[in-house]
Amino acid sequence: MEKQNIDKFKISKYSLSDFLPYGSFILLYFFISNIFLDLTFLNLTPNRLEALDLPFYVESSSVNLVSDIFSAIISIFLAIGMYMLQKGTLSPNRTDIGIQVLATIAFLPVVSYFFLHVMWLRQTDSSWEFDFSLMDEAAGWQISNEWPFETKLQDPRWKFYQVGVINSVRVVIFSIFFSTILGVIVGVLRLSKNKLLSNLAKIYVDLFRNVPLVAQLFFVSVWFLTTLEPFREVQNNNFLGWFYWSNRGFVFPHLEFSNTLFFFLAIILILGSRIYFRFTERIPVSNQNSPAFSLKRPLIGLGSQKEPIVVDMLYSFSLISIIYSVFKVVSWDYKFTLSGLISWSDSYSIFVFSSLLLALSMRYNRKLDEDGLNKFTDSQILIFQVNPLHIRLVIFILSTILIYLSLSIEKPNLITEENGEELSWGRWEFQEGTFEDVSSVFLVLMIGLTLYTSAQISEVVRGSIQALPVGQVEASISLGLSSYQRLTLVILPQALRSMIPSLTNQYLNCWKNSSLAILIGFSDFYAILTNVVNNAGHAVAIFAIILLTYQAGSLVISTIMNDINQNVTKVKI
Amino acid sequence: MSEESIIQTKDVTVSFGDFQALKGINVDIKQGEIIVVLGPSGSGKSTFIRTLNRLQPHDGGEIVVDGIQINEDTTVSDLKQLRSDIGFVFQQFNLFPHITVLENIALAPQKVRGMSKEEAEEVAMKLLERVGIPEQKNKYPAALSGGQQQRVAIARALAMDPKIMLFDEPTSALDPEMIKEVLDVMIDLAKRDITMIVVTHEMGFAKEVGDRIMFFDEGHLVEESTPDVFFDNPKEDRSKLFLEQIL
Amino acid sequence: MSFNFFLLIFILFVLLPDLLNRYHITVRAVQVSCPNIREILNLLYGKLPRYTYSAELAFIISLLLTYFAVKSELSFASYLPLVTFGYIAHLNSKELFDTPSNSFITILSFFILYSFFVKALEFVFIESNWDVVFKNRRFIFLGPYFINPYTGDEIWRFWPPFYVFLVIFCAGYGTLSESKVKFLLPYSIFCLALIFLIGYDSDYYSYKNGMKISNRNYEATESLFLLAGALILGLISYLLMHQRCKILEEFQVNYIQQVLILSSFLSFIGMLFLLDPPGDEGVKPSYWGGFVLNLIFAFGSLVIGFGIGIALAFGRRSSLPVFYVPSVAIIELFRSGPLVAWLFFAQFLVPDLFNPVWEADIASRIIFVFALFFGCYLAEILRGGLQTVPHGQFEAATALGLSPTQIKLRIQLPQAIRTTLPAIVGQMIAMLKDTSLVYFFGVYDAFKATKDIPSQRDFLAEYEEPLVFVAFLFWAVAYYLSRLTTKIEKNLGLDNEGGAGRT
Repeated sequence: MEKQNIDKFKISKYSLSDFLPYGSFILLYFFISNIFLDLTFLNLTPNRLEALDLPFYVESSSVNLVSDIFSAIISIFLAIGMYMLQKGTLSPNRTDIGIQVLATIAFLPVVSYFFLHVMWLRQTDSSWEFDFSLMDEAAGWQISNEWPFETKLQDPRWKFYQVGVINSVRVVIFSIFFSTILGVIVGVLRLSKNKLLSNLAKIYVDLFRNVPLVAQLFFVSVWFLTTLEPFREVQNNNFLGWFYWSNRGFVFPHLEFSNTLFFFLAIILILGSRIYFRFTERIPVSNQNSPAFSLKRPLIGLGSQKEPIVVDMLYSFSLISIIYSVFKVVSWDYKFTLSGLISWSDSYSIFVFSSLLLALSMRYNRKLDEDGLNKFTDSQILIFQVNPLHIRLVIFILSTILIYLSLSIEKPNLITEENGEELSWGRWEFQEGTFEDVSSVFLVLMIGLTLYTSAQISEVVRGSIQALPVGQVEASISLGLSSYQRLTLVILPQALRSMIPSLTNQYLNCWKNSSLAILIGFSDFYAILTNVVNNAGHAVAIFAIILLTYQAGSLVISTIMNDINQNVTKVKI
Repeated sequence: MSEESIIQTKDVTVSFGDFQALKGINVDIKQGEIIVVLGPSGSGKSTFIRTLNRLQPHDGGEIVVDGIQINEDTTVSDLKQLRSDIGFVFQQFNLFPHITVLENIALAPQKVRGMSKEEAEEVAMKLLERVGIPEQKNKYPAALSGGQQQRVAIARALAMDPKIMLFDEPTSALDPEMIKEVLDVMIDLAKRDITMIVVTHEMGFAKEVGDRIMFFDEGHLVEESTPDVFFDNPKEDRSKLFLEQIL
Repeated sequence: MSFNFFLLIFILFVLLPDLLNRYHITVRAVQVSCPNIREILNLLYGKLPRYTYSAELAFIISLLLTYFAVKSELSFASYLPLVTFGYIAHLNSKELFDTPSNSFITILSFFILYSFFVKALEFVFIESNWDVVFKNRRFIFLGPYFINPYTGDEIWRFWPPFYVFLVIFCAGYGTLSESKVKFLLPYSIFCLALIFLIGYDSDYYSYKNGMKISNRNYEATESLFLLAGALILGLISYLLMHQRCKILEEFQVNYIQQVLILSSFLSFIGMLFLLDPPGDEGVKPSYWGGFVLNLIFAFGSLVIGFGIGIALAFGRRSSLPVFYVPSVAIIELFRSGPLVAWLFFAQFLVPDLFNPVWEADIASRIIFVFALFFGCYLAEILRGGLQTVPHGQFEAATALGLSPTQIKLRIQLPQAIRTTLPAIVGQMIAMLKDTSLVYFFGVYDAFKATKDIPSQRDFLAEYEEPLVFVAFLFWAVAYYLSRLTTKIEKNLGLDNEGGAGRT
């Protein structure tokens, strides 16, 4: 084949006029890279970076010259490289490689600057030390609104961080719950036939979506401060001495599991009876055709009789250990220890381990459901000649009594006197151990987040309902369903499927917005960590903790929502 | 039709994972020929013509188009040259929806050949007149009917003054009443000295303007003959089977 | 309140027949004497003529009557607005009162709406001392630097951008080819409001010993002239553009709109340079303040972050690891934390990292972080948009011989932006709301002003009014932008309105 020399293209040879735009690029890049390289080579002078042990150094007097030379070389190299690539003299694959090489070289000054600069910062600036030891030291201050811990002055900072995380999680869980309910209601109302109602919902949404969350929090806190009376009036603002309210917050009676043995007995009773009932009512499945081992059902070797029982037992065991670990973490007094059986000292590892076990056993159970091993008969099977319904009733009564016995409720006791003298209202306190409180800042944050997130969620709900095919509504009308039935049986279940990714997004936003707690004085972990930085420095390490915590929370939320999504979209429409 | 080969392929194979779409295709197409490619769906027809301008990379064999060897070592500028010499018309038109019809046609001459805007628009207007819809020049593609869109697509492909035109089932996505207008344009094109390879199911078109029929089946080029031979007296059994099914 | 009692009776009045019917109690007397609400309304208002805008007119009259009722505190005055509300209800009676449950919902919603309006009117017109806001209006909008007598001269730097933006804005409206009234009516209200804001009562500074002291050398007349010039220029640009676009074709109008958007981006950057030119002149960003600073942060993040977002979006889709890995790392990093955490980063860590290269004050660092943040979210939005561009487009462009860069920039990017424009504007509204956070980091924005006003000698402890006003400013801009989003969606045919009556 002969190569024909087509002259249809205007430019096919190298020419200087062609090169000019790249020439101007050289100048620009030279200027920028010179700045970065100056500092890079500054860091390569002897005795500057202790961590570096290179065989060569750059003399401080020649730093400028060296960086000029390097910048010039790199700029010219880049310009020529780009020009040649643009000519198209390489195949597409080789062009890609060429682009990568050029890009790496182009990024080199910036990357090397940051790399060496961070090393220098670590050497000179304590805030850049990646050292978490400061978290073990005493914090030296106290948080005013913690639950369920109390922090003392000498507690390590990690404890404060714990409290902060629990605070954030608390606020976010409640906000998500309430805002979902409110959001769905408002979203549905927005589509009502009644124009007045839909306009009312529209005003709500337009108002709470467009006002910044900061302003909403301020308004709610102002409203709280003005409608709730100050603490000194608290003796007038109570309900029979069991509930108190003031602008500091709400005080509830103290609820405690004073006798955890009974509580655990009740749990064991309920879970154990569940296993037994499931065992008796399970329809047996034949053992044939089952392999000796399967990855999704590792216990399949036990046979189809024993396998479900063992899985049920694992499930119950993991539930019990989770409750145990939560009790231990919350430091409730308990008179029931496992020390006789197994000594586990770290309640967090128990919690993590048992959560994993719970998740695994739930998964396993689901697999058993799919494979048909968990089919239960409807007919009554007598247990020891007794109607199972009666046994269930007895168990229910027994466990209620046990739980009731294990609880103790205390009335909050306001101490206004000391040694017979009247104290000023600033020193009034509720007696320790007799009350639970919800601080007003918690309520402000929760209400603010709920209002804001519910407005966003209502838009999501509205969008997904409007995206449903109109035929669904028409079909359900022609079936004679009332509008409430239409909503709950036809529209919402279908809208749910498309809602979940956007809903997840809003939940993640809610989690991240909880950081605004710092503006109203609620001690979430971001506020606490900011305080730590202000007191003790080490900004980088703390910043890493902040980001990781937010990332962990986002991961948990998205995993749970993904799971729900899987469940809901199992059936393909 | 000259005696110079413009497209030559030798043992071309294409695989998608385990599935082999083309199992060794050998063709020799002369300049100015009108080739009609027939075959059942899945036989590899579209895959074949897409290897000719490297929309689909081939896994084995050799392809030479207009003197340029096409393989993974073909340089970027050669590929650019190749693609400006080949015009491609898609089944789904693939017009750019965010620019007007005129801009669609004028885009490639401006950006690839470096023409000025006025020159490119002049060329585009002439082509629009040739395909019969000069009044649509400032409309957006979405405002045109399917037949009009495909004619714009043909004009867009012709804007680069290509030597070869490839058509991948150009009328399969059109309503029946619009097929004729597109076929008329293609028949008009066939009268000029341009190499055309058309994958289609329109047998009338094949009989009227085709110089050669290539029949593909299951990745093989089963039969290659003139339309008279193919339609009245096919050589291979598979061709006979195919013709029975469609006629 | 007697009004509530009246409402209660009314509700019972509505429900009673239905209740009786449901329990199959037929009391002849009740049945006869409990007429339908619709009939009542028809009786009262049936004779009145109906015009196209009668509902809106009646609504405005009812608001005025409510204001009068609240102001005058006469007991019977609270029934006056009911007359007009009844008229509105009569106009819509077919939809509002068709079933008893619907009637109940209507009356309940009306009650909520009415109490809300009464409370709002009470707050706005009766209880509040809006002097706080009015006297401090320049402070809230511009911050302390531009209004004190020593550095306040620099305020001239705001006038050229104001002119340019107004002209672009009015030209943009001109391209929409809507009826002139739709623009001129709000525009004239806007002009009057601005003139009032700048001109009225501008001499006041403080009452001291009963004397008025001049407002820090503020010459209102000069500003009024400049303002009048800008407003007239805006009007002219609107009229010219409107006239021109009537005769142009759609694609030319689109082209003009793109040019306008691009020029607004460029003028924004120009404004930044005008405010703080390189060198010693000008006002450093740390001195900028007020609501204008919030707007600068929001739009700055859009303008500067747009390029970053496009680069990251394409980098994330690239098959070359040298682009893919950093893009994914940056996007995931910035999206993992809330904006507050990144402002923390800007405050504590950015100075250490960048000081040798770029000595930035806190406001510049915040714009930088905002831009990166917006860029990462934009990258995610564009990624979705790029995915929806049909692959056939890419093939057609390749078959024509376009290079990969040309395909990305000319074919894929415009279509992706078109598809995701509502989401992009939505993200910008979110950024605007997030600028309210910056006051915590030592920047003098509008919220910091609301915290400082209550400590002024004349306005001690009046913290509600500035807060409401600033919240209203944010709300107004955000609401206007979200209305714009709906308009864009309609324009591009992406909306799915309807669904009324589905529930």
